[in-house]
Amino acid sequence: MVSYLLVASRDTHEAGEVQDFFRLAKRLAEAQEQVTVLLVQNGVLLARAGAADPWLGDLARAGVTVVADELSLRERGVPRERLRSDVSPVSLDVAIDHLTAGSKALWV
Amino acid sequence: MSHKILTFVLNDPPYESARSTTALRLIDLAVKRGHHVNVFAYEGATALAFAKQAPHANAVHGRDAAAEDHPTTRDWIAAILAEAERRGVTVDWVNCGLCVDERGVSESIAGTRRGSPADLAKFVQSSHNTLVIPTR
Repeated sequence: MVSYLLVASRDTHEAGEVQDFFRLAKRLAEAQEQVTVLLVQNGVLLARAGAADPWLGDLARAGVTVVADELSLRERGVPRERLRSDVSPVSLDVAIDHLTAGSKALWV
Repeated sequence: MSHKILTFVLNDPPYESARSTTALRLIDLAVKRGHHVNVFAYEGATALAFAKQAPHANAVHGRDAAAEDHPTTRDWIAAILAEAERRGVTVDWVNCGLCVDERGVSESIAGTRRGSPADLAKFVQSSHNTLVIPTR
């Protein structure tokens, strides 16, 4: 099993390739790889409970761990209580943890 | 704790994208956690450590340069380099030479250096991991 860290810095309305990125994350998870999607910058807007976007739910159901950068959330006024239940707020330490553990890392 | 070597490849110029800020946050965090860091700056990122960046006043709000306290990426990078030295870890910051020439940003702060894609190849080969932060 290979570990992947996929960093999404934009939301799906900002750039079409973000959907392709999430599609990749889902397929990797379906292939039994260990996948973490880290949302940073505007990518965290997808983590809001009311955001009209199907992707994060699909990722969670496929077994992808979805986390969101706490500072990016604060910058954009998204409090913890307004996050989707399948997204956890984290510090950027999670990225360093993955990099030092040898996860394959991609950024969009 | 085992100290790793991480390489970050940056492409964005200063002040234009939040990617630059996130990249510097990651590099700073890696240093504070005791890891050695290589940075290869391509394209506009070669200006991140440009020594001639200057903060400015804000005439609209009536603030002089000191009061405006405008941050510069060169100061942030200098702070990261100082933190690395204090902690006994290395940050090898390399600016792509051709990208530097195109942009006329050859004066980079102390502790950074000019290089080429050959340096990036060496970084990747000698690192535990590499993160490329692409521009749009």
